[in-house]
Amino acid sequence: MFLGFSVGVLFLGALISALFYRINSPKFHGSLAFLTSAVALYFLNLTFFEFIKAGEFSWHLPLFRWIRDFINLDLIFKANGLNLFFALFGAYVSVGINLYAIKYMTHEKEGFGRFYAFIQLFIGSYLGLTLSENLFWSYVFFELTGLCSYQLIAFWYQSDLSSFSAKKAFLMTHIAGYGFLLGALVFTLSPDPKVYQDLILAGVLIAVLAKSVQWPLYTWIPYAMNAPTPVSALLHAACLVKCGVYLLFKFYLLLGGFPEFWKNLLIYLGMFSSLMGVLFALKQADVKKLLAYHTVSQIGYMVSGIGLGTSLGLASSLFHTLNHALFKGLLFLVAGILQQATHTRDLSLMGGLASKLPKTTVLYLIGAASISGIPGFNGFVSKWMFYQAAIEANHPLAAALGLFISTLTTLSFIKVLDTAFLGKLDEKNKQLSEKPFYLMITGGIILAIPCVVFGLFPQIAITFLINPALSLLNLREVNISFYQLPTVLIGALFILFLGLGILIYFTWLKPKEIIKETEVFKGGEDEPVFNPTADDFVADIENRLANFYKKADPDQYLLKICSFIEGLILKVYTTVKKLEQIWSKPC
Amino acid sequence: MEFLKDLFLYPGFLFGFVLGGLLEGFKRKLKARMQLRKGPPVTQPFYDLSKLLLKNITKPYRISSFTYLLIPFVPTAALLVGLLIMPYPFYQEKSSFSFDLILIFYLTELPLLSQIIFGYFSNSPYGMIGAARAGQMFFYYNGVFIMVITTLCLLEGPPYSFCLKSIAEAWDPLDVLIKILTIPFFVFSVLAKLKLNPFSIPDAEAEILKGPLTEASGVALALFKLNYLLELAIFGSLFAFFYLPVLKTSPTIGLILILLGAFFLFFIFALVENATARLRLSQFSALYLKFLIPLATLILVITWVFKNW
Amino acid sequence: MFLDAIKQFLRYSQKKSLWVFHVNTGSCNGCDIEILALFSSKYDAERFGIKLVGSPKHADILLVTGPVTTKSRDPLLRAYDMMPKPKAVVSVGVCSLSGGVFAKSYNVLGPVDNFIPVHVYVGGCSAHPNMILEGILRAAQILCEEEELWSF
Ligand code: SF4
Repeated sequence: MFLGFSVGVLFLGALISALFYRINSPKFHGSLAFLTSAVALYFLNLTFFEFIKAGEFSWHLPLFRWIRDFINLDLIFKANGLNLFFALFGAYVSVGINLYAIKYMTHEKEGFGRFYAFIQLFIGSYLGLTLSENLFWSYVFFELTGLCSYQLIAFWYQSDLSSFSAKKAFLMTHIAGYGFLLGALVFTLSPDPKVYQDLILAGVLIAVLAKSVQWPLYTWIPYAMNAPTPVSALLHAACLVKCGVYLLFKFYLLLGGFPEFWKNLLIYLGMFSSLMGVLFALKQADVKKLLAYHTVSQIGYMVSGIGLGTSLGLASSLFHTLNHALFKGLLFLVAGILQQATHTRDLSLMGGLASKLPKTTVLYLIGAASISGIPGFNGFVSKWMFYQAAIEANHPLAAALGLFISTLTTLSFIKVLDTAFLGKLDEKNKQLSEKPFYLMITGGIILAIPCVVFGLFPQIAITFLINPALSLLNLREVNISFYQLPTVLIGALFILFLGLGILIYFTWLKPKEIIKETEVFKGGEDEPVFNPTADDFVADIENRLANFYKKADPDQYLLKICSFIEGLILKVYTTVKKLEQIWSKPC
Repeated sequence: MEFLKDLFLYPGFLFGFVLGGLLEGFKRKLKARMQLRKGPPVTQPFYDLSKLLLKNITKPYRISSFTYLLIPFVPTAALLVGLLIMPYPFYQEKSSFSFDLILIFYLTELPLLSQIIFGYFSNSPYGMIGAARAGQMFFYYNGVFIMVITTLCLLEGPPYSFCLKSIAEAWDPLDVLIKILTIPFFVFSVLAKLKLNPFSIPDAEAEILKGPLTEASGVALALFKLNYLLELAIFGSLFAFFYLPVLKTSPTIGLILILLGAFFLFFIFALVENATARLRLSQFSALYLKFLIPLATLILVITWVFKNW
Repeated sequence: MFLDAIKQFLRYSQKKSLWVFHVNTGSCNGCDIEILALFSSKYDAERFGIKLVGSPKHADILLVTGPVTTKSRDPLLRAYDMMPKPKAVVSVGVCSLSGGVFAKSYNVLGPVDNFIPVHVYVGGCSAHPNMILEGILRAAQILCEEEELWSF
């Protein structure tokens, strides 16, 4: 019952927002969206507890009875481990981001009704996609998410860049829809799906490539960054891009495992696009584009983890999906704060913001440490599981690549930290204060807490969220004795040492006044000698890989293919036209 | 109580600190001897460290002194955890851990990351250049190091696992051959990791003073030095675990072997340091990207094929 | 008791570990070259734990060569200010002692001790490496014995 409510309330909210679009107040629409998503999260939690107590159950809404014999169009929401896992983290992240958006959107002048209607519609259709059992409705919800993405990217539709990006994103995610349609049709129509599983998987693979931004169809995501930041955080980091991963899991469940060839393909495709993503991310100076390329690279881990096919591999994939939604959402929220504070997205124009925005910096550090896999944060645990799963499944190259990509990720986040938060404070940012951003920071904190909690105590997530999904997929459960060194102990050790350090600091160093302030040593010069910017940070790597960057961007090849197809169609069209002219010529 | 003993005495703080200090002193002495100098006493690093502990701190203006001290402090704790999860003799029962190598790898990254952050945090131009260089080097040598550890992990098994213990226990003839093949790569990547001579690019004294650490002073600098010593201890014993039959013999001999291995590694380092001059960053990246990373990957693939054959 | 022993050890290690920062305030480079010779294998100052460091923030001892010129006064004062306590100054060569051959030039402001407190003077033009070594070791003695340098 609650399953239906949780989706319904969001659609209702979308309807209200759309109907009252004339109320041009960001507060009204924002609080409405926050409220509906919180209610949806509450209902989902209720179902989750019920699920833990009583096991699987479903909610049935008979629709279009008269067509029953031909095709089953009933709306069925099913609460099982996998569905609830994806729905829960989506709802949780959307609560934090909606809280953030209330403040973020006050900078706009109009269009609140439109914005929030589509945001709520998106969350509703994402939940619908993850919960729905009927493939037909899954397809409908899947396309709805793409449609919302189109509308939300084009929020500033007056600007050419925005509308172009929206079109690009819509067209490319629409390809994904055809892939899914192919898979779903073959699956439902064929009597024995095992026979046609290659066809099904090819369709699903296309859906994954385009929707979950894998190589070579990821080129829409850097453009999608021209949307308002909550949209980037919710759609292009947390939820929309996970639809493809969800489909992979769903078809894993429906087909009961993948054949060997597809497994290997998924592993190496995932790792390859991960490498591509991270290499392109390294050279970005635009903070949101950098994050977008990291989305490509992190989803590579998930796809690759599914390909491993072992229980540890799938667990790592699931856990990384959850973690990625949390930390990438958080990082996007931080990027939004930076953008509003400095009125730019270019890293080289920022600098020294840590002294002005200390809380934001802490949030950023949590997010960055999680994504680059510093021990003690959630990203580490899931990546760790991935490496171990890869080498256990006899794919050492995937494990090595994964480790390598992880170091590159660290490097690019160090770059952001150094050039935006540390370094020299820009003259125009001297007056900055953090006061106006408190509500936005609260939204970030909602996402930051689980990052730390799951990093120190991953058992919580593994037992309650991941093991139900694994047992649904007929796999061995990943148990806790898996961590032979108690992670609690490591956490305690860290806290002990930090406490000791703080104690020494406040009892010995500070009161004795042995800390003195002087100038920075510049070798005797009066003026600053050199102030490296974001571009200088990886200058050598960029020089070395300049050729690679020129050749490896798939966008140019896609464009070539497109224009080739266009030429073909044009040729056919002109010949037909000529024939027509000959035909219609009065003899 | 037992835990405190582990933490502060045997594989923890005291052991790592003393071993690292002796290794550093040994290397300096050896280097001096190779240049026909007398050289500092072997205990020199301890003098340096205890002197730094009692000095004042002079930090740049407008910088929170708490963060100034916190940045070098975090990796110290991390490196201690790293020492605690290595299967040292007399201790290995407690650290039976199935994929510790990844954790060690990540924990030994932290000192460098903290230095990079410190370089920018301190607003020093030298620090920033040094940090940028360190960050870019990080990209290259880690590639080699990762390939080496993955190759070594393939020795024992299947099922394979990122486990230090299984590497230390793999001693078939084929394993030995592969291990010997990976030694040069290990040495090269650790040289760069420890910023020793041909790759001392981030703190090239003649151009950019002390690189990221230019602004560190007093306790902060002491903590950075301490981190460095702990790192030396970890890499020295990693070398012994990888390439000597440490866990195959009785614990006493194993411990002696660890010390021997570590000192041998630093003997090699002293040789290399004396025989080479510092490279430029572009030469360094060319060396790694064109030769070392492809070769290390090749060895990994060959090992993989052999093992599955 | 115990604390005293620790204190003794710390002072002893201060004597054994001397990090030197070198400032040239307008010397003719003669003395600078002698300082470099100090670290070569013939004189080998490293055997006393003496090390040339690049940043004044790491240094215990400041070596000053040359008379203080108008241009170099501010950098000298700044470098001295940046050195953490306990610190000592050694002036090397007659130039830094009295101005030497450059005294009364239009741009020379005077000897080093007009601007910062100097603990040890090393004479000679140019100063002999052995004498510089001796000077640094004397400064080390002063560093670890003088109570007021430790007054924090
Ligand atoms: S003392 Fe003599 S050698 Fe030294 S700087 Fe002065 S003139 Fe040059």
